[in-house]
Amino acid sequence: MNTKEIEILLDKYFEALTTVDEENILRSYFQREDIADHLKSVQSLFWLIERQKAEKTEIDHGERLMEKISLKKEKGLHQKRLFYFASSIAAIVLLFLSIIYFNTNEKPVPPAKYSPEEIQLAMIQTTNALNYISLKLNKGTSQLYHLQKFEPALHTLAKNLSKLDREIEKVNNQHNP
Amino acid sequence: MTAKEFCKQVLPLQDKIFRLAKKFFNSVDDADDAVQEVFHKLWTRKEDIDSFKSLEAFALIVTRNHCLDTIKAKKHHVTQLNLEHDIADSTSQQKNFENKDELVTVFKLLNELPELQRTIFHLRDVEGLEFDDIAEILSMNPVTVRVNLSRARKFIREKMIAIQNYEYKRD
Repeated sequence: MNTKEIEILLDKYFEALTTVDEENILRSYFQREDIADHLKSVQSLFWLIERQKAEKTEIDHGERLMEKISLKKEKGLHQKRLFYFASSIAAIVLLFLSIIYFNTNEKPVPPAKYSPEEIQLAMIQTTNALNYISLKLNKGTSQLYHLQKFEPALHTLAKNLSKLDREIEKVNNQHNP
Repeated sequence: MTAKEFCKQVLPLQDKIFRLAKKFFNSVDDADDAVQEVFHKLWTRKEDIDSFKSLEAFALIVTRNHCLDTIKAKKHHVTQLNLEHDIADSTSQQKNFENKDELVTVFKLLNELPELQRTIFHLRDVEGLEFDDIAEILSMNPVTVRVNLSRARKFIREKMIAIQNYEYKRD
């Protein structure tokens, strides 16, 4: 690449219109020693870039990283377990606390705020209601006396049946002496 | 994703992360610490990786944010002396070591750039990323990236020429 072309590229470079490839061309051009005098003013910039491109870390980050990651993983698992354990204990404690809380909050039945007259009235009404219920129940049971009619009937039926038995036996004996 | 698979994916990025972090801290040790921090952050956020264009972009976003946060939190002080030493050390191995002063000068100029321009310059010139990728990493539009890059490059050129003219006159 001749000086003229480099000059054009250089102008484009400072306008930031060069492509990455063109910038590579420029950089390799300026590594040469025999460059035109009027281009030397910017040479050290490209040297510096070239030098910085070659910079590398001298530490084995892979090993360190693996160590850190696997350590973190174990620690994370441990923390998770601890968290579950702690939260289950917290849940149990909370449950007990809430039981105690609600139990103590259950207020005893407040003493009646009724006057003796009212209590008596309520008593009478309740007794009346219960009487009424028992009356109705008795009315239902009174109908059960009809069942008594069955008894004499069952007696005569039993008598007749034994009579029938005897007659059948007689007949049998006559036929089979 | 298992730890092994994860390592296989992120480890090729370690030098890129290292270089970007070194841009911020100008210190090898801090940059190495940043690599570990960034890897670890990537591991804890490995579910988010798919939502980015590439793992590289995601890693560089995390790196930049980590560096910015660290500098903000610690009021990180960049020592210029170490920086010069660093440059002088590595250039002495090059054949053009008589130019090491010039390299230090350019290095200082780069550090004078605002953070955004410096990062864009780094991602483009050192890492060779496309404007679209840089735009994603910095969550801005590609045109703005290009404008800022041009500004950064021109700033360095003008300063370099000014310094050279001054030295020329003095000689």
